[in-house]
Amino acid sequence: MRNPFNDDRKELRQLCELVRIVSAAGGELRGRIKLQRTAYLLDLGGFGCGYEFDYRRYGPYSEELARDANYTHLFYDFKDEKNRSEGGGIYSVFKTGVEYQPMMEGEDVYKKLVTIANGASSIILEMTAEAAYFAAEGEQDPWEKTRERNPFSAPNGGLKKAKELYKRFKALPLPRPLPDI
Amino acid sequence: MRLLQSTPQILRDNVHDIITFDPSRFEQMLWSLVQTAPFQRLRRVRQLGFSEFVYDGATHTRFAHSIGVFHTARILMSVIEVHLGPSKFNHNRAEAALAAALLHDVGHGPFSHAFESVARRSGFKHAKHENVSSRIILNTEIAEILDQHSPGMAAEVAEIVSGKSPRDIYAAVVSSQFDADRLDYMRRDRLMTGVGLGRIDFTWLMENIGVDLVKIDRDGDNIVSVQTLVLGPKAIHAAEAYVLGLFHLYPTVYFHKTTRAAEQVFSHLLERVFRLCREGRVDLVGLPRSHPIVAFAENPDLLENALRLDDALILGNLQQLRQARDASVSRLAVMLLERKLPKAIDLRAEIGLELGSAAPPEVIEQTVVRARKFLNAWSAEQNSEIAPLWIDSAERVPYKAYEDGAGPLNQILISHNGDPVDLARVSPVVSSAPPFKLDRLYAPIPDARLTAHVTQTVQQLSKEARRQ
Repeated sequence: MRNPFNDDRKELRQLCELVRIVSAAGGELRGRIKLQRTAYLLDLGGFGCGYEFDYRRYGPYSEELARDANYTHLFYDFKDEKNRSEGGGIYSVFKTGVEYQPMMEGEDVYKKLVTIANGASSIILEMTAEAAYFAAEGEQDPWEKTRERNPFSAPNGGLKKAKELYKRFKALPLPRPLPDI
Repeated sequence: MRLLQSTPQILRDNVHDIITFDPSRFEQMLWSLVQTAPFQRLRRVRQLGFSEFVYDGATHTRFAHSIGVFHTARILMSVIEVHLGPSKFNHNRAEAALAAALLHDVGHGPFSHAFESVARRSGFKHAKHENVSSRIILNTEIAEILDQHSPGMAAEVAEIVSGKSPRDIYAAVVSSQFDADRLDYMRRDRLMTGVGLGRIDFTWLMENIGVDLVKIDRDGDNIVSVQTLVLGPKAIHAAEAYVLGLFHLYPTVYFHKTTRAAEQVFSHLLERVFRLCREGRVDLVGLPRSHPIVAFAENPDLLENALRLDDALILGNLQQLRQARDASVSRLAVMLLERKLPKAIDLRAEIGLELGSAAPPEVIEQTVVRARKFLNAWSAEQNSEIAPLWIDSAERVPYKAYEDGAGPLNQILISHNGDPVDLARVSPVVSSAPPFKLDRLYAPIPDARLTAHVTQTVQQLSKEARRQ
C-alpha cells in the first residue's frame, strides 16, 4: 500500500487527510463522532480538506467524510475496527500505522488540535464542536443552544467541560482563529 | 350563519381512509395550523418531486403526507400512553411531538431534496429543509398558534423538527428509523407510484409495538437509560419486511435514474438562475425583477422569500425561462418542459465491465471511488457555465446499524429473550442487506469528446487497478 503523504493521485487527497488525522492522534482514534468533529474543528481552524459540513446528529457532520471513512482502507493503511458498547451499539476505532507527517513547518498546531480532541470524551468534544458550529453560523448564544440540544450531556458539568475544552482549542495559533464564543 | 368550530374535522385520505381532527382544544389547534399559509403551501410541493416523470400517478403532495404522518404519529403516541400509564406519560411533550409530526416538512422547498442541493451549492445559509421548517415554526403565524396553545411550544416543536437524532421516545415518533414519517411515506409512495414492491404490514407492526428501556452512549461512552419503542418478538418478520421495503423502494423509486436526471437538470437550472440574479444579470433569466425566484436569489435568508417558492411556481415559469436570453437557462428549461433528459452513464457498471466479472469487489470499489472523484474534479475545473459532466453519487443503507452515534432511539428494537435488541443483531436478513450505491454520470450536452474522456478515464483507472 502506498504512503498517503507521497501519493500523487490528487483525487484521493481527502482520504489522505483522514489518515493524517488518525496518524496525528498517535495512530488510533475512537469513534466516528470524534473523527467528524475533529475534522470539523480542523476545517474551522483553517486546515480544511474540502469537506462540507452541515448540522446532523448533534453537530457538524459531513456525508462525504462519512463515506470516505468507509473506503480509505482500500487505498491506505487505515483500519475501522468495530467495537460493541455496553448499551449494545457499535462504535468504530480507526487505526493506522502510517507515520504522521506535519501539514506545515513551524509549530505543529494541527497535531496539537488533534491530540486535544483525541484526549477528550466524545460527548464533550461533540458539544464543543456543536457550539463552534453554531457560533460559525452566527447563532447569538451558541452555548445556550448547545445546552438545549443536549439534555442528557449538558447537565452535571458537561457543558462546563465543553467550554473548557473550547478554550484549549481557541488558545491554539491556528491559521484561522476559531470564533469567539 | 353558525361557525363550525370545535367540531371534528374529517379528511378522506387514500392511504389511511378517514383521518379525524377531534374537537379537543389540542387537535383544533392542529387544525388551525393546517389552515395557515405555510402549511397550505405544501399542497404545491410534491412528495416525490420528479418521480412523476417515471411514475405518472406519483403527483401526491407533502400536504397529504404531512397529514398522514400526524395520523400515524397519533397511533404510535397512543401506544406510548398505554404503556407508560397516566402518571409517566408526558402529555405536553406528546403534544409537541404530534405538532412536530404535522409540521415536519413545512420547510421543504420546490422539489424538496433537489432544492436542498441547489441551496447548498449556491452557498445559501439555510439549505436543509429541517432548518427552514424550524425557522417557519418559530417565525410565522404557526408560532403564534402554538404558543397561544402552550407558551414555549413553538420552540419545543422546532427543536424536535430540526434535531436529527431523537432525544426521547416522543421525538423518536417523529424522527427515527421507525418513525411516523417512514410509516406514512413508504405506504403512500408505493400506492401512488403503483409499484408492487415495498409493502409493509402496518397493522401487525402496530399490534406488536411496546415500550422498554435502552442505554444511550456516544462512541462507547455511556450516558443514560431512556424509554423507547420496541417491537415484540412476533413482529420480527414484519420488521424485516419494513426494512426490505426501503431496500427495494430506493433503487426502483427514489434513486430511479430518470428521476435523478430530472433533479440534476432542475438543480443546475436553478443554480444558474440564482447565480445570474446575484450577479445583477436578471435581464438574462427571462423573469421580471419582482419575480419570487429573483427575490429569493437576491435575499435567500428572508423567510418570506422562501415561502413564496413551490413546485407549481417553478413548473409554471418554465415557459418564461425557456425564453431566457441566457442559453444555458433556456436549454435546461426546455429539457424539463419536454422531458428531454440526459441519459445516465452507470459508472459502477462501466467499471465492472472493464475490470471483468472476476475482479474482486474491493478493486471495483477502489476504481469507482477514484473515477468518481477524478471526474468530479475534472468537471469542476472546466469552468463552464454548466458543468459538462454531472456526477450523481449516493449511498443508502436500508437499515443503519446502531453506530455512528445516532443512539438507540434511532433504531428498530426487537424484544429478544426479554431484552430490547437492535434488529440487525437478530435478523440475518437485515444485517446482511447491502447498501444501494449509485455512481452515475450525466452529460447535459452530449459530446463525443466528453464520452471519450469518460471512457479513457475508466480504462486508465481500471488498468492501474489491475496492475496493483
